[in-house]
Amino acid sequence: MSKNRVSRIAWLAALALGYYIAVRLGLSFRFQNSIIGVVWIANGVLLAALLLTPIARWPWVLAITAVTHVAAMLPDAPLWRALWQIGINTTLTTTMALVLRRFAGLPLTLSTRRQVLVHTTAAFVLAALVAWGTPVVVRSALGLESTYTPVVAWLRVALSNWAALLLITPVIVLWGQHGLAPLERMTSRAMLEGVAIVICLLSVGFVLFGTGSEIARFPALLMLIFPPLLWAAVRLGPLGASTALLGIAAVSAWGTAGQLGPFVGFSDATKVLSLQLFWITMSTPILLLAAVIRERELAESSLVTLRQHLMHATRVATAGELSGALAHELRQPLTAILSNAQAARTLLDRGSADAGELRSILDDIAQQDRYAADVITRLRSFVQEREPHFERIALDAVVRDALALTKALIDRSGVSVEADLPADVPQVWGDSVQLVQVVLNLMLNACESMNHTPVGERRLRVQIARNDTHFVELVIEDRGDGLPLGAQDRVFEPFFTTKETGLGLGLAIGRSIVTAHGGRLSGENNEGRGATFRVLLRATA
Amino acid sequence: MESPYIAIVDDDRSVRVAMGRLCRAYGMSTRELASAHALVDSLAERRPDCVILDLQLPDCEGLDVDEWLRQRGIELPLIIITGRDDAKRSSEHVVLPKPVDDTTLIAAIRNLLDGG
Repeated sequence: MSKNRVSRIAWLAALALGYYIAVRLGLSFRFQNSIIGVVWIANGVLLAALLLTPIARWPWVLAITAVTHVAAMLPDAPLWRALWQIGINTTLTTTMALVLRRFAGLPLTLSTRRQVLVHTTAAFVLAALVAWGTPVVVRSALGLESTYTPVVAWLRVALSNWAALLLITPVIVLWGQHGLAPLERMTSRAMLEGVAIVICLLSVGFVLFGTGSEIARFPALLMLIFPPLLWAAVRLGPLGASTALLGIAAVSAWGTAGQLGPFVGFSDATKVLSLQLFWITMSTPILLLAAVIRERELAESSLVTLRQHLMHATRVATAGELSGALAHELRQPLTAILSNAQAARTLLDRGSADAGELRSILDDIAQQDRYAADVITRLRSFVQEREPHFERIALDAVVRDALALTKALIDRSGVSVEADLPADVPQVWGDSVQLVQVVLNLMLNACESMNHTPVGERRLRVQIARNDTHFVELVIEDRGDGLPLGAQDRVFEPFFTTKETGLGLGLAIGRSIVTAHGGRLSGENNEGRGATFRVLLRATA
Repeated sequence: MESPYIAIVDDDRSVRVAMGRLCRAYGMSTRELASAHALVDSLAERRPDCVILDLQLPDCEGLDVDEWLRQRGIELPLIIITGRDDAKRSSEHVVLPKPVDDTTLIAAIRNLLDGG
């Protein structure tokens, strides 16, 4: 037998076992004088199984659960009644699974408002409709059973199914899809928070439902359940929220059945009704909140991705601006390598080669090759698309990298650089490629702004210094045209540009990078000629 | 005949050293210089038969090297080598793109020395 088939059989066996336990649990969980379960867990299990399997395998699921249903029910109910229930349960769960498939989309993750609303609405409407066809309701209406009036029987069946579909199905479907992966993915911090949430939920649950009937004198105390539930919904997503809801439902059922908690003073019927209404009214808003939060998280993370793409795109554009100068920078070692190689070859051809000269030629070739490789490596790591990587970095190394990348362009522009980069400045916490992007961009702007400055006066001053105890300051000062008067801060707006070419994104992105580093980027005109830009970054030490 | 004396002016040491080696391998004598100013200073000592000049020198503006020399009353047979793509200019001088092949460079030098 193939491994696949073994696991499929194991899956069906697990379904049969789970369904059997669900039926027996549902049957045993009835309060005195009631023939209808408080929550018909079996339907929650069956719907979850249908949602987790492709339609082609539904006949198997339905057949297995039908057989199990008969086996589990027979001690308590005649065969005709069990078969009738199977018909009703199959109708309810398959219809609901089809509705979810069509209108909510599978897999059901309950991480969008749409999915939660479709799931909740379908559960309410379908369970309400189908309940009219159950044996207890039909027979009460026909006068064959007299425990309940038909309407009361209908309400109890509907409530029992609502509770199952809203509390049981989400937990099984969500854990069934992910397995234990969400737990394995959790950081230790998230794990700690999860444990704290569980402890809060359990303590509140036990205080409310496990401490005698005094609690019934303070109905407002029931509200205590919401803070930990909201906490779970906000921080643990749909999976955590639905699990928390089921946990609270279990604790409240356990307490109420043991004559504890806020509902004990009531009659059995009211007790069950209160419990069911408590569960059902809690579940929808909590699941909805979890979905809204998840939607927002997704929107935020796609914004972050978009920002990363934009940063990368502008780095590529910058590399494009540098390409002419970089081509020149690569041609220098290539020229030296070619001339050296041809000189050596000529010396050999003419028989005038001496070993010492050949050795120094070969050494030079190797060195120039490494230099060219460095140029390419530096450029490559600058334009590579990558995940942000924050670490302790030395700002002087960042500036040196940016200077190396712009060296050819600076030389060509006739700009002389005055760099004051002491090594004893504290390190900063940051992403080195992003910071190189900021510094490089400021240097390129500075060089470009000095196009109208006489050659001898084109000076670029780059300095890093400890600003005070908490910040490191990088200063880039030029002798160029300066910032446009009256619009000095507008240069940081996206698409604002005074250049003939360029999108006007460089400084906007630079400022957003620095801000994301917890720092500040500002620019001002000098007293004399040119402008000075300052980058303040938080020191790590 | 005395071996031709070539001045090689490039601010990149590795390039001027390598080109100097190449010219010497072809039997010429050379002098390697880092700037246009150094070239002018060296003229008092010995006037080169030919100058190989990098277009982009820190002390001359852009493409106007020969203009710069002419202003100082210096007329020399010039071969201009350049790593820039935008060096298409109507110069009376020979302009060779970097990297320069030895046959091209040596032929250009010989051509200039022969008064071509």
